[in-house]
Amino acid sequence: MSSLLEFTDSKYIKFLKARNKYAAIEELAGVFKGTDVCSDIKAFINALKEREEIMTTGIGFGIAVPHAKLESVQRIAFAIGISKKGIDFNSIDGKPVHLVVLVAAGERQHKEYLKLLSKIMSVLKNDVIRNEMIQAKNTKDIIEILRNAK
Amino acid sequence: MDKPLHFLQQYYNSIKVFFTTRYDLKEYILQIGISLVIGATAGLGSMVFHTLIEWMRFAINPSRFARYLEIPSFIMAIVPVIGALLIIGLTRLFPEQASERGVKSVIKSVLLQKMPIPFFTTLFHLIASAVTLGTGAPLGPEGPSAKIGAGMGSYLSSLLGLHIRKMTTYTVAGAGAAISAIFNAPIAGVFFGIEVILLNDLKNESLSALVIASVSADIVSKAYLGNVSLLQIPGFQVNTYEVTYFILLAIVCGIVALLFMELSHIIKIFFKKISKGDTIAILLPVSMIFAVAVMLYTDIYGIGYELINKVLAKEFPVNMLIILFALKIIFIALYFQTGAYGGLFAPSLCIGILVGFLFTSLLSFFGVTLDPVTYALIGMGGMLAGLNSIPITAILMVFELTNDYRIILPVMLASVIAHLTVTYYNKGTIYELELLEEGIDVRKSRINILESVSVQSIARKDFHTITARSPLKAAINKLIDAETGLIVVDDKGDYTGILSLNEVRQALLSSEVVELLICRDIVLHADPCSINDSAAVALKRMDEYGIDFLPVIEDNKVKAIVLYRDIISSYNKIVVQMEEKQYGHFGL
Repeated sequence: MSSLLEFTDSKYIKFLKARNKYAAIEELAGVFKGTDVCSDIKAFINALKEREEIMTTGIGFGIAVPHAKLESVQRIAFAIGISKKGIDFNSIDGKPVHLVVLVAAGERQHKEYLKLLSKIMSVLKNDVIRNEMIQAKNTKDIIEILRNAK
Repeated sequence: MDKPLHFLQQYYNSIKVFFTTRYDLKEYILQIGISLVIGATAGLGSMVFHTLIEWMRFAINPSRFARYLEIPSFIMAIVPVIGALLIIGLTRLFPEQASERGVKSVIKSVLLQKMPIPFFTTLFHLIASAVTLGTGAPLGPEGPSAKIGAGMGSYLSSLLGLHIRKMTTYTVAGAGAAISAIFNAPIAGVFFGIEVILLNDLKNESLSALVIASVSADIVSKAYLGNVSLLQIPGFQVNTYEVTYFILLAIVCGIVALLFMELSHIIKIFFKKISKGDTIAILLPVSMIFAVAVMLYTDIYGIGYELINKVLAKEFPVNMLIILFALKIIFIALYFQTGAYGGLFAPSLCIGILVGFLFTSLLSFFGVTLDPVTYALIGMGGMLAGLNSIPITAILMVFELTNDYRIILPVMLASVIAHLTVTYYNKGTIYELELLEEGIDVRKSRINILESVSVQSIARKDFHTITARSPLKAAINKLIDAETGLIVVDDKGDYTGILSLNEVRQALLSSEVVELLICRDIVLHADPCSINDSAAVALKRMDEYGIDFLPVIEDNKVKAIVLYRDIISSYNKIVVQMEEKQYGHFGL
């Protein structure tokens, strides 16, 4: 699979103010508003929340990967949210989440969706990269980290 | 041995050798013989059918019966209601026999080689159709006749132990022969077989049997009925310079045919909706409304031959013609769509006559004087061709009914133009479209074998389900035991989608992804199929999604699954059977 940077943009990176997971999802999904990624942000947020209600995407180590496949998503992409204070995501290890990676995919982009999730997970399981991202001061730093990530 | 006897013995031996060594000749002679017998039997069947209808029409003719009983004639309008009750009862008692009705079922039997047609089915249709038409339903006898003739051909072939290929040949021959007999029109019978049953396949091997059987059936019909024509046609004048009006009427016929089909389609959808598929039950209220209409306009009662003769004799004023035209169209469509046992040929003749008469009446307002009888006959051909997609049969039938060569040219124009108008708009004939609704597309060069295999026949009940909220890990564990993929359902047990090995394999790219996902994340929302679909539909859907199984659902609940390999196995079996039918035997 090509570089992760092909699926994100500096506009899709946000330092989050929200303190709970649903507010964080709403805040981060808002970065796709007015872009060519998703034509119905409301439906997308609802799908993400609905999914979160079934099972948390807070997978531990301060990371959460909320994701949804939806008809209104025209282009597969992901957004990155950084929370310095941490968000209560009901994570499986009970720890607050500092890094939220929100993935949007079209209903029929099954293969690309799984490949992107897999790539994101393999990057995030690297402690050094993960901590660098959480400590990043601005969006440029994060883009740089992703560019160097293998 | 004396000389003459010796000579005879030699002569006999040479004939014997000739026939035993010339296999082809023996087969041809036998084919002619069997075609003659089947034609005569189908003709006899049609005559029994005709007699039954006539007897019922005579015995329970509302006005005659009312006079006899000395009761007001309107009371006898109840006859169609009694008929409806009998038909509903018969249909309920014999649902299997009732399900295969009309010309469409004969085409299906021939196309899919579903042979032999059981004798009881033929008998059922003879009785049910006689009750329908004998109690005044405004439908025609040709659909049931074709069914009866085809049934006779198929049954006799099976009695003679003929091979299924030959059985199909004689089924076609029987259907055409019955039409020849019922309309006393042998050439039209042959072309009915070609245009309707064989779907214009002029190279079909059934052709010679069809011609011989039709002639044979017509001889029986003429011996029984005499040379009497169904219609009494007064003198008429054909002026070839009126060709513009011929063409105009032809287009009008095409448009009326299309409007009738549209009305019929709307009624069909409405009936299906309100009856949940049990349309025959609607026959009762339809017959009640019909009874009220019969009280007011007795001429709409029955097949319509009497009405045709009255119209041709100019017994009705224009306003009455308009009323009769509207009532006929509405009640033919209503009766036809309830599933009553009758066809559309005779009703087409009736509508055509009315259209032709109204056409000349309308033009007379603009100062154009045309002979109404001529245009009524042209309208008859145009309507018959347009509504039933049988241009050549229509030309020949009008010719055989009128016995007048002068009408041929305008009827040719009317039939072809009306037929083209309808097929241009509908993109297919009425029978092709009806078969298409059942998943049989005869417009292709050859029919798809799998369209004859039902999902029901290959569906399996053993399948594994998982809820959409289950973690992917649980699904992977379940997949180890499952023969195929899993069916994903929501908390209410309603169908959500499927989880095939393909989806799961991609998720196995990293163990972290497996931890992250639940079934809902990777479910494939594949369109399921229903138990009434054909295997062709199921296979098409599997190909579309790249999967090897498909759920069969009813009311959003999964009832079974269909496997790709079962469909392929059915396909192979049918191909082998067809090859055996084609090459494996040398019997007749």
